[in-house]
Amino acid sequence: MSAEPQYTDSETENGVPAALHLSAVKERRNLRVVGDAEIQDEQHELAEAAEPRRRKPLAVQPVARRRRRLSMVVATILGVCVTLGVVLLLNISMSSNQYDLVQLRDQERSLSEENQKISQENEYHQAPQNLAIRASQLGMVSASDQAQLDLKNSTVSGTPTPAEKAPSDPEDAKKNGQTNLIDPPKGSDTDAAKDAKKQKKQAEEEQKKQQDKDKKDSDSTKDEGSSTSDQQANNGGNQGGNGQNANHGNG
Amino acid sequence: MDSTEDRPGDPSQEGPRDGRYAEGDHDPQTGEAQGILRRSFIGISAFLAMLALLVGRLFYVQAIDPTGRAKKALDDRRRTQKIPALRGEIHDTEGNVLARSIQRYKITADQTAVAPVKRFTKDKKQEELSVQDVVYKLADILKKSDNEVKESLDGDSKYAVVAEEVTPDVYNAIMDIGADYIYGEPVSKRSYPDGSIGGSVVGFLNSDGAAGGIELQFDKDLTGKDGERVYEISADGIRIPVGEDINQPAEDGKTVRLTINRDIQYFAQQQVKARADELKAEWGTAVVMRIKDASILALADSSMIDPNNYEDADSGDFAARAVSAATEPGSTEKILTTSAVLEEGLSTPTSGFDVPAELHIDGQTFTDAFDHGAEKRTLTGIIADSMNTGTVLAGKQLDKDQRHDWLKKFGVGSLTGIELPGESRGILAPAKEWDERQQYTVLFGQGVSQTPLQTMMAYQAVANDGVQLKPRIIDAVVDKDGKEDKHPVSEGKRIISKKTSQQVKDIMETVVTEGGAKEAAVEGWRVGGKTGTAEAPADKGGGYDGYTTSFIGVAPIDDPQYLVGIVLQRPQGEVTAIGCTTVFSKIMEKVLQYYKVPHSTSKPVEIPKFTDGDHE
Repeated sequence: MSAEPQYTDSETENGVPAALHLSAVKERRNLRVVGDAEIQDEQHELAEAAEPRRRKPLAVQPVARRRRRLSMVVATILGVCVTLGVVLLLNISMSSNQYDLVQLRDQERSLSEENQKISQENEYHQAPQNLAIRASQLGMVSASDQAQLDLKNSTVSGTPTPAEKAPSDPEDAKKNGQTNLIDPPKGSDTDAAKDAKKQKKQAEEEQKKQQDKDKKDSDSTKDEGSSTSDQQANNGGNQGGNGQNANHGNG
Repeated sequence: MDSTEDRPGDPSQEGPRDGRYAEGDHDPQTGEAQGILRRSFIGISAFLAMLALLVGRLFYVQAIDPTGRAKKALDDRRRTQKIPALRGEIHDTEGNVLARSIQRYKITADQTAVAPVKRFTKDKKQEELSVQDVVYKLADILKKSDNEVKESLDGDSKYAVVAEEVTPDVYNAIMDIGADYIYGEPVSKRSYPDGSIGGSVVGFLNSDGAAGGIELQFDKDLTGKDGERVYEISADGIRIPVGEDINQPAEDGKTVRLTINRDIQYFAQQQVKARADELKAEWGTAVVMRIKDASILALADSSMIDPNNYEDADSGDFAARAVSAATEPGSTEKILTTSAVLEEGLSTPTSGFDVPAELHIDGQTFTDAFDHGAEKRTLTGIIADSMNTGTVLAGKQLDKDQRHDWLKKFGVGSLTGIELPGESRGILAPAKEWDERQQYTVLFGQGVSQTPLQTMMAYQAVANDGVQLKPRIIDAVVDKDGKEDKHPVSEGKRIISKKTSQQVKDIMETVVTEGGAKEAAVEGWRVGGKTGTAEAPADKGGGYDGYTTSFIGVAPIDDPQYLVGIVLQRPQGEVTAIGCTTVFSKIMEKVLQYYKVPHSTSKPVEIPKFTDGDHE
């Protein structure tokens, strides 16, 4: 490296801008052993190198350009990486949101199903026949005559009478329509409906017994009206069933 | 020192290094360059050819795509999901739900895949359920016998139904077993929380869809429009977020609100059933109507279907009988005859008629339900005691065509236009086809058949100052935004004058106060009405068997608001003891109490029944 200053000297002697020469020489520098003995050669070489002077600008530009290109490449790679990273993150978050969405949908479904179940239960409780059965289970009876109060002239019209207990004879209660006669909706799971079902089952059993008895009775005196007698037995059975409800009303 | 060959001045090195700039053309040098050129040319050409091939292939696959790969791939990951429109609800006039759709699951199994189930317990231990265990568990959850469940899993069907219409609870429990060959398919089920209260009016759905009542009549409004969702899924079944996603939401069905009030419906059904059961009648029906707008508050039959359980219903119960069953009305028709006679100016309520014990006319004999000698009756007296003889005497002032036209004018023989399926038109034969007897019997409601609703509409006209409306059963159709499409009250058709209407109402009140329907009275309100006892034509033809009894009444008669009609078909018992006036009284009282109608403050009208005044 001791020879370095001499380069500059000789270059200035040639009247060539230092930088140009330096770079021109640089191309071969690594192939050479630089030392005192070389100066001659060096100078000779420099003279030679000076010969194709017209191409100098071509040699110069790439150095600077290569540096810029490098930073651009780095920037580009970085940019691509960042972009990819962002896209990846975005994708991940979108996917995970998608999973959340599925979960939330599931939750929504189960909640609305639960809501449906509860409101159905509620509606079954509200069904008039279930209400009526429940009311008579609790010992309630329907009101009879009401009186009206006329606010204009402060008079009472009608004679209010206290509610009467349903007749103790279930047949009478039934005739008056004071016991529920209408089956609860199928599928309703209320206490009232369960109770009514139980009563009905009992009544059916009774009716069956009755029917068997009737059959035995009519076996001896069988005539063509057997179908009508069956029908009547049916009716009798139903009455029995409703009678059970009436009992409940009294109790 | 200079041992390197790379000397700038070395002539042997100079040539090749600066060969590009050299002037001379040494053979070996050019040959080498050409070799490189050729090789690179071939290389590049080969590369380009490959590239072209690839591009060509790409173009073939992507753009031409003759085998439809892209489409197939898209189809593979694309899922089209039908979003079923939720069927609309049916409400009563107060907004109580009479019908709604609920979610149920159909449990199916792929029988070919039945195998022991490996699953993790809550404490993350693996356990294995044998097929037997799965069957036991399923049977427990479904409340079925083990055998039944086992049978549904045995076989080689890929789609075997294990259970229908299970509740979401049951479905979740089944899914918790973790058997991946058991599936749950959501199905929509119709629920009718009030069961047979108005069941035949509401109608039902069978496997083919709507099959009766409002469900059928308003099927189009209730159904709505199915939506569709198209999306792409990844291998694990999760939607690809950036994929295609078309979402066409379903249009849910509209809600149909009836004019029926379920409390009144219940009470009417209850009372008419009590009476029908007591008299062992074939059926009974009660209709409750608001007079001012002809809104039907109850269409109650003694037995109505439970739409939740329509399979078990009697075939006669599928439509409201007040709409579908035509019977001979009997004496209730006398009000129509009276209106016609009064409107034509042929008589007044106090016009006198010499009523014989038996009326012989055109070779026909007419008698009354009670024995009496020759009497001098007013028109009011004739109607009050429901005398056939007197009615014929009064009605024969109308000629045959007038009799026919008046019945027709009141709506006999034509549809009322109620928005329910299966309405019966009844039978009103043309006047020229009437035989000798029929020309008189139509005056008191025999030889003509009509539905209870048709009779009700005639009474509605009388009570509504002579203006007949169209019966309303639909209050409004409400879409999901709450926009109401109100079904308006019809404009109405004047049948009789206001004066005639008042006269007929007075006569109707006399029927209850002085005549044969004292049990129809309602404590606190003035009531008017008319009984009817018709002989019911035998189903097999040839004469009559049994009776059709009825009562139609109006209250308060001084300011008519509600109309209640009862009809009992073939009640058993003495003809004098099979009426339905008590049922009327109970239902009417309930209706008046329910709607808080003020008690009547005026005194009932008194019209003499006999012309000589002191006869009794």
